Amino acid sequence: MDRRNLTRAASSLGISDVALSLVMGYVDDPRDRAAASLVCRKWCGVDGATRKRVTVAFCYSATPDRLRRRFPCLESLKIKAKPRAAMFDLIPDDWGGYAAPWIADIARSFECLTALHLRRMVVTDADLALLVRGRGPLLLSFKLDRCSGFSTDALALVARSCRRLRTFFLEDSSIAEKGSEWLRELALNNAVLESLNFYLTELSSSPQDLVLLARNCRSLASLKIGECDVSDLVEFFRIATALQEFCGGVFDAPAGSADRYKNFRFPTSLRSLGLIYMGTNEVHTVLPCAGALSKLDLQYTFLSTEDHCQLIQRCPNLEILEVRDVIGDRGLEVVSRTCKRLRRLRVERGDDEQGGLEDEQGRVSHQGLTAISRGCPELQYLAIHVSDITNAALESVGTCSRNLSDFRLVLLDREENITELPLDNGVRAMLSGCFKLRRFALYLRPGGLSDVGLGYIGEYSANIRYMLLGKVGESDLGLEMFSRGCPNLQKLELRGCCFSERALALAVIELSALKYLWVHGYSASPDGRELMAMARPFWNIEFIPPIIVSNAADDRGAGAENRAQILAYRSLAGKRMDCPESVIHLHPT
Amino acid sequence: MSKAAAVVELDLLGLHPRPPAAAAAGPPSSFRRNSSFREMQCAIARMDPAVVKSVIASGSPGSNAAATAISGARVEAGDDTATSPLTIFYNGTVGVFELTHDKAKNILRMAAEASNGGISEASEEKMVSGDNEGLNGGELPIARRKSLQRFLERRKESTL
Repeated sequence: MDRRNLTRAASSLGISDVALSLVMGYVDDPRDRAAASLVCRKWCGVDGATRKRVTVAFCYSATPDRLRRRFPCLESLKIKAKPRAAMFDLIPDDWGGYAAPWIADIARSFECLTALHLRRMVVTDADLALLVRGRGPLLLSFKLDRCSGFSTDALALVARSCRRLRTFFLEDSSIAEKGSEWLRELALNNAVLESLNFYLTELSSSPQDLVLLARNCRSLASLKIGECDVSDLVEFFRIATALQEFCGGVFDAPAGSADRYKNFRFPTSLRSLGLIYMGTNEVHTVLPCAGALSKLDLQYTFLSTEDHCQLIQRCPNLEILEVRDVIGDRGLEVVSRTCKRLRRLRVERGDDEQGGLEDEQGRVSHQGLTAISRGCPELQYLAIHVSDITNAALESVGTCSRNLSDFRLVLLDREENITELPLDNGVRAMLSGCFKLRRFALYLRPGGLSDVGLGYIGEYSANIRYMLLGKVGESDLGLEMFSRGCPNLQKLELRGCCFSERALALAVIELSALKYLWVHGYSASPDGRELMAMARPFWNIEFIPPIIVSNAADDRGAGAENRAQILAYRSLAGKRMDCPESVIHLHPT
Repeated sequence: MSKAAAVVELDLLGLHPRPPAAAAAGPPSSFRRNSSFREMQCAIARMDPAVVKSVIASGSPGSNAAATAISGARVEAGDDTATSPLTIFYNGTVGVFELTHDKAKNILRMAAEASNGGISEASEEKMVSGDNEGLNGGELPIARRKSLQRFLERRKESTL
């Protein structure tokens, strides 16, 4: 009796629905929202009705119908489909990730939706036609991020129908080019565009259309295009006075005719630049704005180590820098001396094949890593491909880079002998020091990290939510020790490790926060049966069986496509119905 | 460990020739008996004494113990690493040992180094039966981002 009265009293002393929804409106962080929704049914309902932004981290974890019923008033929706490995050509083309079912629902319902972001999905022209018919006039932001399956015809349709679009993002998507009218359509129909991005697509663009765009969209602040010769963009830059960010545009003149760019300079108003095929003779085009640049992308340039040093020396305000490892330790030392505000650094893998084209000095090692950690204390994101490494370098990261929330290290195959392996102690020191770390990737080689080291990763990764581990550990014991830790690990990717199926299944059971597992190259059985040890409700297990190849002499690593893959994930949607033949759905059956 | 060095109880070293087992796989002809005897000896000397003892205890000279699977033998090492049977065909004899994964790997590595030109993965697996506990996990090349791959290929084309 007393208890019932107490409960009634508690709920009547609670705040009203109206007040609750107003308060909840200020709660933005999805994790906070998730926690609030678990308090009681009423709070769950209020959260659902007031939730504005949702990310569906993996499209097969829920159905569109369920999403709509729970969050009918969404304003911004992001959906991700194919595993990250698709960016590295490791996922079959027909794997799945179709946007059609989602777009069908979005077009019908979700009347408040103004922002849609689809990442690594297959989207057809028909899907886009349906979407713009239903939502076109309302869309403010539309991102087809690393998507495929559509053509420029659909882009023209989007351009004509979505006249309020402020952000149109197509970066790295595979788009069938059937003409370039879509850009002209966009210029003619839109007056409010602020950001247009078709960087790293194969789409061409005419300078005249870009000039028209600059004329009509006076707020255009960011433009990232495909390959269009920079010397044809003089008029565009003159007119686009609001422009702060520019990527793309090539320096395409043959080596002899450097005159074409002699008088060209990028406008000093630019704060962010990314240039394709820029060589030593074209660096002068960037110098006038170098001092003000906060973001620089040199991944697709032809610059030597020395060029990098010369250019970066003049960029003290850089916050985001993306390069290939041709920058060398010397270049990283220049970065550490010059770029004190650096927040994000990516050092990608260059051409490291035998007799490759990169500068001899173009290798990054523990020296460069140590310099960066000491010189750039504001660093939050660091992704680096090294040719050599020591424990001391990782210890330096742990001591100096206390703001790191995302750290990714890949040890390349270039050198046979590494200065110091295994990296157990360095990894422990780094993880202990970088307490803000949320995302972590470590890709080594056999002998790079012992079972004990793998256990350290588990022990010292209190806040890490995402991990990619490649060629770490020595045996199932290492995986077992690892799985006893990682209290917050939600997404795990494993590549080239030696673990057995059974050990993987047991590790999944142990990792209580795990929602998503992807494994490629492990000790696979022909049918994946040992994986059933992790079978449980609301947990899907997909298996791509290994293909036995008799001739393993292909040095391009064609064997990679023949290795087994596991994809296991929490799901409310039940068995996926659009699996291709190469994918076996082990659970639920 | 001189007693173990004499290795009377480890018949597979060929000290006490036995009638050839029915094993199909013979040793690679590149094995030279004397050097491999020493290598095997070193590898086994590094094994956990408790494992060796249990192998010795469950088989006695004169019996065919080495040829039978020692499934009943308990490893009293007191650690919690799982053991699996390692079967070795050598010079017409067969031995089965309950070993941890690390020990098995060490022995295989020794054997591979001892043979000329190194043994490929395929013949390693021929020598070992029982649980294939991921001894070949590592031959995957590091993958490259598609966008960078395209850039590097285009660059190569333009310089040719």
